[in-house]
Amino acid sequence: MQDSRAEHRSQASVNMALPGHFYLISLVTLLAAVLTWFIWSAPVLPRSIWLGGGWVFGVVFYFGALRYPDLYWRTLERWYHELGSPRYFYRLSGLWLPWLVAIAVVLCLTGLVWGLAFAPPHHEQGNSYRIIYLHVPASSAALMGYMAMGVAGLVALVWRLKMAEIMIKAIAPFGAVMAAVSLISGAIWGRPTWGTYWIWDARLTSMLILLFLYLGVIALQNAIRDPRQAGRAASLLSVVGVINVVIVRYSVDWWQSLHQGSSMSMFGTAGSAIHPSMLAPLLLSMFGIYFLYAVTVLVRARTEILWRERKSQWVREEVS
Amino acid sequence: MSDPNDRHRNPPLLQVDALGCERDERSLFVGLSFTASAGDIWQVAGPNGAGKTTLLRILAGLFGFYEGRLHWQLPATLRESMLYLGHRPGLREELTPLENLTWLSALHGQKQDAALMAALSAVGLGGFETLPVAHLSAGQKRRVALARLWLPGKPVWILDEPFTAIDAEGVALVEAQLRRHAAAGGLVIYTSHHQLAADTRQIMLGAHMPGSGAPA
Amino acid sequence: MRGFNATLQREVLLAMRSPAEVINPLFFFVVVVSLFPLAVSPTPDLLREMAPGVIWVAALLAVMLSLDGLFRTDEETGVLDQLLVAPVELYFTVLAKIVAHWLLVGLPLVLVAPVLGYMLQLPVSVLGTLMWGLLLGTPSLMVIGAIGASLTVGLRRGSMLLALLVLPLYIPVLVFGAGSLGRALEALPVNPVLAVLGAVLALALSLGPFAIALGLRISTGD
Repeated sequence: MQDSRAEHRSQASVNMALPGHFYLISLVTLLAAVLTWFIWSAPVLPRSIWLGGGWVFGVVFYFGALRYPDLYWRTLERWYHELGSPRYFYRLSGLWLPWLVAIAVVLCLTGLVWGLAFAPPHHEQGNSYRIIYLHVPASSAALMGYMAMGVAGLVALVWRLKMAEIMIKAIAPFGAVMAAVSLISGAIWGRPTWGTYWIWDARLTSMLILLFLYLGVIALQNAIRDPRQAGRAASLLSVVGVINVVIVRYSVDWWQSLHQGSSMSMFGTAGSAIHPSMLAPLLLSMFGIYFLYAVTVLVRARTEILWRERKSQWVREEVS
Repeated sequence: MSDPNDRHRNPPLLQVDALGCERDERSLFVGLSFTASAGDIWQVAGPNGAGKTTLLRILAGLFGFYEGRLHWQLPATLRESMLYLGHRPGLREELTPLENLTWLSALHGQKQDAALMAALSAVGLGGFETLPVAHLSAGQKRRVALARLWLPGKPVWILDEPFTAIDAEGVALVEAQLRRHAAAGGLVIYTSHHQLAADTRQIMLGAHMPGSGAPA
Repeated sequence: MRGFNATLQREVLLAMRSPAEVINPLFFFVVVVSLFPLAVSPTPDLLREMAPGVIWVAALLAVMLSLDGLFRTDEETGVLDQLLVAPVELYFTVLAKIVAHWLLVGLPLVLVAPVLGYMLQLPVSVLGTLMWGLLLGTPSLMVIGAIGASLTVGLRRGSMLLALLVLPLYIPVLVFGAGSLGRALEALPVNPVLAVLGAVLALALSLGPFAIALGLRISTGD
C-alpha cells in the first residue's frame, strides 16, 4: 500500500471514476465541447480572431511540443509548479501587475473614448448603440469568467491545486459585477430601442441566469466557514454550473423561438456585419475590460493568498 | 515513534509521519508521528477540543485537510479493512437495531442475520432487535453501534469515544472485546478519557507535543 | 454494485417508517397548484394558458424542498460517515438513494399531476404529455437538487442556500418541461422536446451521482 493520503485520494477518485476513468474523461470532453461551442458562438469576436488564436496556439505547439519537446514540457511543468504555488504566484503576479494595469488603462480609455466620442453613429439606432462599448465587453467578460471558473474548478477538483480554488474566489465577484453591468447597460439600451427597460430577450435572460449562477457560487463560498472546504465546494458548483450554462443557453434560445419574442440584435438585424470603424474601438474596449478583469482577479487572488498563508514565514517577511 | 524496547514482532500497519492539522484558525496538532502495529491498542487522549475526533477522521480517510504523511500497510484497501465508529452512533432512529446493522453489514459485505443477532445479544441487547432505535436509551444506542465489534473481518478498528453513555458492565464488556481483538492481531485506535489498563499506548493531544509511543 | 440494493431497500423502509416525508411534498404540490386559480382568476382560458408553468414550477419546488432532508438526517446521525467509509462505490449508494427518493416522492407527483392538470382546465389530450414530461423531468430535478443538497448538508439553515444554488440549475428542465406541455396545447409535435428532456436525464444520471458523491466528501471535510 502506498501513502494513505494518496490512497484516500485514489480511492475517492476510483470510487467515482467508475469504469476506469470514464467519468473523468467524459467530463473533460464535455468541458472541451462546451468551450468550443462558446468560442464558436461567442457573439462579438469575429471568428477570424479565434482562428488567429488557434494558429498561434498551433504554431507554438508545433515548434514547442514537437520540435523541442524537452524544453516545452519542462517549461510547462515549471509554470504549473510555479503558478500552482501561492508563493511563486504572489511574486510573479507582483511583477506582472504594473504592466497589466498600464495596458488595461490605455486600452479601456482609448476604446471607450474612441467608441463614445469618435465612432460614427449607427444608421438605424443613432447614438444609442454606443452603449455596446460597455455592454458587449461586460457580457463577454461575464461569460468568459464563468468558463474560467469551470476550468479552474475542474483543475482544483482533479489536482487539488490550491491556486485554482483561490482563482475561483477571485473571479466570482468581478464576474457577477460584469453580469450586472451587462444587464443594466442592456436595459438602458432597451429603453430607446424597445421602448421598455426590460424585455425577456434571450440574451438578457441568459445573462440574468448567469448572474444567478455567479451569486450561487458566491453564496456557497460565504456560507462555508473553512476556506479550504469552501474552495472545493465552489469548485464543484462551478463545474456543474458550466455544464448547465450551455444547456441554459440552448434552452433559452429554444424558449424564445417558442414564444416568438423580440430578437433584435445590438448590431441591428442579426447577421449584418458591424462596420470596421465601429469594430476597432469595440475590440479595444473589449481587450481593455479583459485586462481590467485580469488586474482585479490578480489583486483579489494576491489578497487571498496573503490571508491564507498569513502564518507562513514568507508572508511575514513580505508584509513587514 | 516506535517504542524503544521493541516488544512486538508484528509488522507495522500504520505509520504516521509529521502529521499536522489546522482547523478554524487553530492549530490542533503539529508534527505528530507514531507507528502502530498489529496487536496494538492506541488511546488518543487529550482535553476537549484538542483534535481527537479530527485525528481519527484523518486516519479513517474522512478528513483530508492535513499536512504530513499517513502510510497504511494493509492487505486490502483501508475501507475494506477498517471499522470506523464515529462519536455519533451512526444509526437511524426510525429503524430497528437489526435493520440498521443489516444495512451496514451489507455495505461491508459481512454475514447477515444470525451473526447480527449473536452480536446484538453479545452487547446485551437480546430482545431489543426489533424495537426502533428511537425507543432505546443513549447507552443502548451506543451498544447497538458497538455490536459491530462482534462481527468478524475488520483488522483495523477506529473508535471515537466508544465508552460514552454505557454503564460499567458495558465498559468491561467492550474493553474485553478490544483486548481480544488486539490479541488476535488486530489494531485498535480509540479516543476516550477512560484508560484501559497496562499495555495501551497513548497519543497525547493538546499539549503540542509529538505523540509519544511510550506505554502508558 | 454492492450496496445498491441494500441502500434502496433501506431507503424505502425509512420512508415507510416516516410517511410524512413522502406525503408532504405531494401535499405541497397539490396546495401550491390550487393557490393559483385563487390568486389569479378561475377563468378557464387563463388557467389553461398558465397551467404548464404552474404545474411545473410547483413540481420543481416540491422536489427541491423534499431534497433538503435527503442527506441531512444521515449527516446528523453519523450515518453519512458510515456511508463514506464503507467499501462500496459511493456512486451506487448515492444513486440508490436518489432512485428510492424518486420512487417515493417523484413518482407520486407524476401520478397526481393529470388530476391537477384537469382541474386547471387542460384538455385530456395533453395530460399524457404532462405525465411523460414529469416522468422524464423529475428524476433530473432530483439529481440536480441532490448535488446542491450534498454541498449544503453540513450547513445550518442550508435550505435557503440550497434554493439559491439549485433553482438556476433547474431552468433548462423547467423550460423544456413546461415547453413540451405548451407545444402539446398548440397541437405541435412534442416528441423532440421530450427527447431533449430524456437527454438531460441521461446526462444527469450518468454524471450527477459522481458530483453528488464528491459533494458529500467535500462537505464532510475531504
